[in-house]
Amino acid sequence: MSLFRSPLLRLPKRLAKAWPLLLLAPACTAQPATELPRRVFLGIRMENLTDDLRRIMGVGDTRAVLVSEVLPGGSGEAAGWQRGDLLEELGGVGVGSTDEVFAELARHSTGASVAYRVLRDKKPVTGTLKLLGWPAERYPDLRVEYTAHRTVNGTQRAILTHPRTRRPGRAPLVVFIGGIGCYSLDAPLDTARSEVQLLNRLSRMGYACARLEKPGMGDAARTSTACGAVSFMNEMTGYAEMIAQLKQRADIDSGRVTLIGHSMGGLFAPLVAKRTAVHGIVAYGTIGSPFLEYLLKTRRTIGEAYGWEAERTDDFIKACGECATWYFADGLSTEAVEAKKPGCGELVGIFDARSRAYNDELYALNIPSAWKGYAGRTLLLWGEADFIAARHDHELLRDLIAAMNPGSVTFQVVPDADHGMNQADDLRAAVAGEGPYQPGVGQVIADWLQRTP
Amino acid sequence: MRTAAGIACVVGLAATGEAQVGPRAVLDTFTAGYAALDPEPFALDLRERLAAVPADSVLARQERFFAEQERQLSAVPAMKATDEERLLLDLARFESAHQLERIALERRWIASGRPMPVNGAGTLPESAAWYQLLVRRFTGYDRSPQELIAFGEAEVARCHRAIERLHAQLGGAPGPAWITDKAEVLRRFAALDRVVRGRLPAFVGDADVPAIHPMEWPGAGPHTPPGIYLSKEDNPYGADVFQFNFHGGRFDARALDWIYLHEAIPGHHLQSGLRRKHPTHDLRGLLLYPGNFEGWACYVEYAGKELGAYADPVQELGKWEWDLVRSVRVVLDAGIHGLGWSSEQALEYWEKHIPGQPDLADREVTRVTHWPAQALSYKVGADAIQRLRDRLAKALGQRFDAARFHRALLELGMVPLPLIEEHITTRLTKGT
Repeated sequence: MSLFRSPLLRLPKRLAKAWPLLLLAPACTAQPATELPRRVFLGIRMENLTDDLRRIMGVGDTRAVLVSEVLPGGSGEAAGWQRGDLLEELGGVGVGSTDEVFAELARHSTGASVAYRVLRDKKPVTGTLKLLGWPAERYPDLRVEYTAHRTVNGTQRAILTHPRTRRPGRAPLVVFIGGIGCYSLDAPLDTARSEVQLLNRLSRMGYACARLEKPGMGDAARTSTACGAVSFMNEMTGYAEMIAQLKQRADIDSGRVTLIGHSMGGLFAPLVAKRTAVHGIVAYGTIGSPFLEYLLKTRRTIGEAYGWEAERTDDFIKACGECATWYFADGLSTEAVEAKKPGCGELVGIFDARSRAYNDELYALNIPSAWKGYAGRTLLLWGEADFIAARHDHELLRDLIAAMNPGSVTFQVVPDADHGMNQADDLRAAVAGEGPYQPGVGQVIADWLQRTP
Repeated sequence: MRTAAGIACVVGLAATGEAQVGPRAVLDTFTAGYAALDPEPFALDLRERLAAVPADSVLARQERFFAEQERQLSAVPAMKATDEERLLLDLARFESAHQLERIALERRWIASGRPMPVNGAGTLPESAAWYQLLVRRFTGYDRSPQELIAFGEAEVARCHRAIERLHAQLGGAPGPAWITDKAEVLRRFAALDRVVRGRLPAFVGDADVPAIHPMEWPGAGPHTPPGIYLSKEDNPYGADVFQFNFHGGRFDARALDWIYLHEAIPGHHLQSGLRRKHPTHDLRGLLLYPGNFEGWACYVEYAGKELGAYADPVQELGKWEWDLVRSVRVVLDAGIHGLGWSSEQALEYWEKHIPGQPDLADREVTRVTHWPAQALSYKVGADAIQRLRDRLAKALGQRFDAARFHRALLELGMVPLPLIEEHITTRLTKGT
């Protein structure tokens, strides 16, 4: 395989993913509750100096990180940094790894100036770098606002998109709540991702669309509780408070609010609706059964997706059942669970990305109680190639909601879609996970919104 | 240059020149206009390619440009052109025809609502036309799915025969041969580098190839390809490198020789070095033809023994085992995109020829599904070069010189292989 240099060459997505590059993003500063500056955008990709690179570049044991790409619009470009520079010092501190650059950068705020020293062609170059903020998403037909909200978790960010051409009256609001992971929905350099594509599609129909950032993520990294420390209920409360504040805006129709809950977001949605009224919920790839039951049934689809032998899947389900029971029901730590049964740590350790309180509250949740009392319309969606969520859970929810509020719920399977709302024509393709956004998801939601009074 | 005004200016220049415009002026206009339009960004993934299709108005502008260029190119007086200009004029004609076909297809695709394929080109409207376009883009040739399947199956059979021969020579199928010490991998690449460089004068007539640095592919996973070449213009390390997959702290020793030949010398690194040494400043600097560069890199793997590689039969076995993968891919590609095979049909064909490696099967079927025609570039390209060599060797008899043939082929540059076939005879006889 070859990548010849050419102005026409685009690095294949698959290879770009494999390329060990790191985009800098962290750090912001304390600020008033209603203002939240963009986080620092150093605007470089960097690599740690491996033995191979030291040998090839002839830099011996130099303590530095390699600037492997300088992105347009970033602080690095403004300072004249070049691909191939070796960053030795930032803010007067020696940096020998990407983690050390992150740590140093986290001490500074957007707008601050920091000294740097790089090696360029083995010669030292020093200077002062002005730390610029992350760029905003820009579209010819949409306006993008970065709103700040005071919540139980601190100050949180929402990213609001509207049609650039104002329409008469107040706009109906669509709010997007993401899944269990600690990730940001603020990605101006990756607007092809499914959440952005979905909401932009709806904005172009005239909806104001808000992506709710998780506490501690993106611009709110230092203004709200860390994502990994927040509890389930506080995360949910934060979302409800953000929506309540958005509903007070003069350009929003507070009587026409729809939540889109993705994965775990679909579980947050009915709880949020108890705190601030909404008239519609869309839940995509969500959970409709007690968490342990959900875990076990989806371990089977994971085995199927990975093409495991039946015996392996059987053992996997049994092991997950035991380990997850100790972790969730008995409240044991990952280390304690691993001590009880070697291998358990790997199976449950993924949940350590969230706090003990989060996991305890998630485990304790009663799904029918969560939905009880919700009187709005509901659209339940499950991608046909989704092996992370279970079709059966959506059918359970459909029956539950229909019993409480007949005629209010629709369940629809989206063909050729995976858990991430991306294209995948089967489970195998979903495991590969390389499909682009599945526009069928947006189509189904748009049709339902149009039909829903 | 990439502005509407710039393009209009370029088109205007072409339109006012009429019959007095000589080959160089026509080529300059074409090259400047092509660079300004950037009409077909290189993309391996079909869905990424389709997602990047611009608005119909942009395609209409491209169509006007290439239609005008076709008219200009047909009016160039051939007698006034040098050999080099004749090659570039043919290249411009090849591209114009291809671009006009692409534009028409993309405009109809837009009109049908920009439908995205779910399982390869075979699920697109006008799938046969799309596949034909992609096959030509990646190989340089027009080949029907049936022709490709027949070719792929013949190559699969050839690989099986070679593997059986080597198994017999080795007294059975050898087990896995992992090298877990990276320093050992580097030492063996360095030793091979010395051997191959010593044979280069007889192979291409020029041994002055810059240093090439093997290194571990950072972040490589189980699904990362075995190797990749990155010239110093394409990496931040300030050196030409090829990266090898050392995922899990091990490297397949059987892949040492063929990966070096393919990615380094005389494969991609030598070809890239020649391009750098002889900058063209012309249309060839804007274009990429995978049939040319992957075909060359695959072709040189077969010439391993001429180059001092495959001293250990296990190394040659590794080459043929990977060639089997590439040959099966040819059949899968034509099956999936040309004949509408399902993933199950593709996996079944794979399992028939490369049994017991389900992870590799999944990876390859996924790759072929997402990258229509790309997998053809290696085998179709190598086959075209080998057939051309055989044809010229037969025609020239004692006067055929393999080193001159290879040299001429590389110096013709980044053009589609059919143009190499057309122009190489002139180069060989005139000794340019």
